[in-house]
Amino acid sequence: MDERGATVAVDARVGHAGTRIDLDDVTRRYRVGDVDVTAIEGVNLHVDEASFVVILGPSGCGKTTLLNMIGALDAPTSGSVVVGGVDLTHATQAARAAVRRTTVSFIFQTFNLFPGLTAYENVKFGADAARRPGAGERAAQALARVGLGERLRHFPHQLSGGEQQRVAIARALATGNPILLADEPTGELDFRTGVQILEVLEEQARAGMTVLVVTHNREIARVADRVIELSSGRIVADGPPPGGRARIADLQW
Amino acid sequence: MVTREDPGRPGSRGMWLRWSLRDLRQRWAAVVAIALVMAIGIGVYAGLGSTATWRTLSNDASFAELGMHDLRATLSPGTFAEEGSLAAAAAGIAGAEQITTARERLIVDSQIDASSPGRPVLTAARLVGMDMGARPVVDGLWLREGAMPVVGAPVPQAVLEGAFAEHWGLPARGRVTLAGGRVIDYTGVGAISEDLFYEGPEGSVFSTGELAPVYLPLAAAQAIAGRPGQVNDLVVRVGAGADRDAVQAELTEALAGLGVGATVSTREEAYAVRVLYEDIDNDQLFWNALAGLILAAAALAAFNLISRIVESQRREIGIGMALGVPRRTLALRPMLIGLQVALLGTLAGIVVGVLVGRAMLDLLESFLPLPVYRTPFQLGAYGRAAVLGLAIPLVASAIPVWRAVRAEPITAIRTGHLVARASRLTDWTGRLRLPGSSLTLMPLRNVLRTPRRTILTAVSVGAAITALVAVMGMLDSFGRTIDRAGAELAKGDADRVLVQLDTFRPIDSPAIAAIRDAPAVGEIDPGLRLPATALAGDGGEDLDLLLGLIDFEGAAWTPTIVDSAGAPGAGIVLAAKAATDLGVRPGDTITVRHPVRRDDGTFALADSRIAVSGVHANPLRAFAYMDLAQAGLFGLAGATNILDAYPAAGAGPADLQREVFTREGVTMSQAVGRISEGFDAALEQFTGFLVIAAVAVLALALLIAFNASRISVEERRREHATMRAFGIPVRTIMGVAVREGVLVGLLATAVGVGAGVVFLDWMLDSLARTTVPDVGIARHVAPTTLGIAAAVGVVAVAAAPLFLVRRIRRMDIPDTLRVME
Ligand SMILES: Nc1ncnc2c1ncn2[C@@H]1O[C@H](COP(=O)(O)OP(=O)(O)O)[C@@H](O)[C@H]1O
Ligand SMILES: [Mg+2]
Repeated sequence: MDERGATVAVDARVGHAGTRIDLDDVTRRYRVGDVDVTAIEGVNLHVDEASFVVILGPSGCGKTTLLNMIGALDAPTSGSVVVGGVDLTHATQAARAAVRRTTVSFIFQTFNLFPGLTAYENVKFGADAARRPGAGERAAQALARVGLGERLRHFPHQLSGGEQQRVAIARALATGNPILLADEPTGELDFRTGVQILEVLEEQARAGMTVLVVTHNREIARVADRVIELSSGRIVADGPPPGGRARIADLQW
Repeated sequence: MVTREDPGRPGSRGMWLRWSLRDLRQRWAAVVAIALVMAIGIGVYAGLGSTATWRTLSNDASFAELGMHDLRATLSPGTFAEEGSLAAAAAGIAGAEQITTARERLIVDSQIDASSPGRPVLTAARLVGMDMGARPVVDGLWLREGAMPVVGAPVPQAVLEGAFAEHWGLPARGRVTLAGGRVIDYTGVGAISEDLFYEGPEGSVFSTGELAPVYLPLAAAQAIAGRPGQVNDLVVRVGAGADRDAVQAELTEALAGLGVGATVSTREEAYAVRVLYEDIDNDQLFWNALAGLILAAAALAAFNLISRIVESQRREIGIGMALGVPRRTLALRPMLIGLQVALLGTLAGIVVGVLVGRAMLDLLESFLPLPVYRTPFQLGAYGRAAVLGLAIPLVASAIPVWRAVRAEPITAIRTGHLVARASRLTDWTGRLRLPGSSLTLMPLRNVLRTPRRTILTAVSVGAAITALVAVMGMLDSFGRTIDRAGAELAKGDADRVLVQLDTFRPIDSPAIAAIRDAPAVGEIDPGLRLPATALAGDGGEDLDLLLGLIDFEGAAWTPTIVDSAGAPGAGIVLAAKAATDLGVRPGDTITVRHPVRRDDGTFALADSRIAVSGVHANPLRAFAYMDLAQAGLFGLAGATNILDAYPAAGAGPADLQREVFTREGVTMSQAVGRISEGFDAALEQFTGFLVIAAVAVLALALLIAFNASRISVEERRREHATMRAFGIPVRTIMGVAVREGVLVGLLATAVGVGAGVVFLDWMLDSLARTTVPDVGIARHVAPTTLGIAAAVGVVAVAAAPLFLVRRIRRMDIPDTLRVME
């Protein structure tokens, strides 16, 4: 049980390698009954510096599977995954938990806030989970950053969907982890609210984080620094958005 | 889009069935657990319910087997008749042809010394001389162990009553000494039908082991009693359809014609018959109350668990409604869960019932040995249990299902931020600033978020704890009562020996002086012991009293007075229970019907108004005390019939007992230290049965606690997955679950203990009043009971998630986070 040791080691690397993601020849297969489903096949992906990256593709093409491997929730069937300087390919459960605690933070399509905790407490959870000192202050700051400084004492069910997602982002920010992973963060939301969420996420990339957003929505991809397009588990395109980066205000869907 | 296989058509029932079977495969653990909860409830109900019928049947068969008399003629104490004359008188009555069998007996009082080295057994005895081999039997002898006595053996042979032998741990055969130094061998142990249950020498319920019935061939009894050719008792059986009342009247008349005073009593007046049957009804009251409580707890738990399963299907029900599936069809799937629980629970309940019944039977057989035990399967009891077992889960699932299918489809389908708002109370708690890290807060926040669910869980666990506290509190209260009774008798000098005299003797008589001067005897305090009756005022019930007259000033042992008005010696000191039952308090006056000795030495009954001067500490209702100075009221000034004797320095109570055994005028001696053992034995039976109930309730409570926790963990799957996505270690998550369990458990324990004490009070107040009327049982809940209640409530509920640690460790995090339901 050297989880604590692992935490310290990872913390030491944050700074130079904290935002790096390196996937080499990664394949992930699922076995369903006697059938092998290949969700990701031969993917090479490298993110060197803080940026706003969108992973784009139709439903079922393997986006979530890819994100989960980067987020240390899942391991590849073959190939290697290195995140924040930690090789996750053959990492133990404890080492993966340490990476989730201190390197990556998740934002989910269905928010997954703790229904029993207030907005403030949900955000504070992020700081507590990463064992950051001054959790209360971090939480208040993170909520202010997403524009919810006034809703600290409200429960998730008292907030709108967009507000809930902003709380979820604040929770991820409060961890202080350098990589933000968002799986269809606007999928449950209407256009206007979705745009607000994107703005908040983009701001974080500008502030020095690596933000990985998974979406099937081509419009969203237009605001990214870099778009990685998946099809049937393979990367079919990787580069700046075709037609150049658009401003969020110009989006429509 | 409506599927091709329209789920609304009755023809697609098969699909719903398959769906439900898939549900079952997923939820089999929960279904089995709820079914077990129900099984314990209905099993206890059926098992306890069966014993009443078993006991009635067994009593009937046993009395029939031993040929219990229809009529019994008893000559007045001290009078005897020539052998053959009683039978002849019976044969001479007009209805003689209605009598099928009549047998003469000689029954005399004696003493027995059945001591073994280091264990004195010196008690009163009753010799029953009878024709042992005669057929057909009337009040026949049931030989439990050993052999029948040989008539005319050089050392007379006898059979010793079995419960007495068992109480004192005597072997199945041995040699004992009777009064007058007569040595006999007993070749076996057993009982005649009248002694299947018998009173001690003082008519007290707590007299196990104080009287030894000894069955001998008639001639041997006559020889030992010094009454050759004489009898004093006649037992008679009449034919089927005989006019027993007429025979009774004619027999009474015929015996009067012989010139002897005799009373003819019926079979129903026999103590054994009365008690063995009355006891059944009384006990049944207890069992019904207990089984009802256990069943209620099981029903509540089933309701809680099924509700929550149904709740988790609400969304799917809503989708079905949106697709236009009829409500009836939608209700089918969740109702099938209820049906599965009902069927499985009922089947398992029958097994539990058989096990409970078997355990009860084992106890009955050891505490209430009968020659015949009849234990047929009780179709009625099990039928009723089965109806309950089927109905309760169905109703428990029907209520939430009804609520779910009545809801607007849109409400049922809503998810995420659109889910119905929580209560205003919950919203208000958001304003509470709670200290500590978010993980520390989570248990309390979770509990506060769904107060109704929390309360339902706490109440269902609490109901099991209620039953536990009630049952174990009953044990505690009985135990405490026994201890108090024993402590009161043994207080001061625990070596005190009660020496009972054959009759009232002057305190200054040579016989008393001889006892006082015996080497092993130190001090003696002479006293009186008389039967009396406290007459109730209007409408109440008269109370039998065992009235002791003691020198309140001078005697070494006097009763502990807990409440008094004036000098205790000025009136009568009653047990608290007696005072309550009579509706009096110290300072009031009661009417006591008591014997008064007349100048010719015979006794008459008189009613005296006597002031209640105090209340003593003994919980036994019959015990009452007056000062010996008032002996004149009974015509017994200067007389004694019982002595408190204390061993001389260097001697023990056993030495004292041995020495007074042979003294003139002594019928029995008893060390008070041993009396509480007798108390224990008398109540052991009842507590034995309660232990069975306690075990069942404990299992129930643990099962409910575990189940409730399991469901909570299930409901928090999504939150646990989120925590793990943030890298929270599994043990930290377990810590949150355990602390949440502690909160619910504390609430459950508080509810359970509170309701348990209330229920216990009710049982003691209303049930114990009829079932154990002779004892004032004060409610007592021992710390151990509270500890076990807390252990079940808090520890079991809190620890249950730990059994699910594998599930949390192995959960597919992305999968859990992705799916909506
Ligand atoms: N746990 C799983 N078991 C089996 N197959 C899976 C599992 N998760 C995903 N898949 C399959 O892998 C493929 C990619 O899934 P996913 O990564 O969720 O796609 P996306 O997020 O792009 O919609 C799909 O064909 C899906 O059915
Ligand atoms: Mg996906």
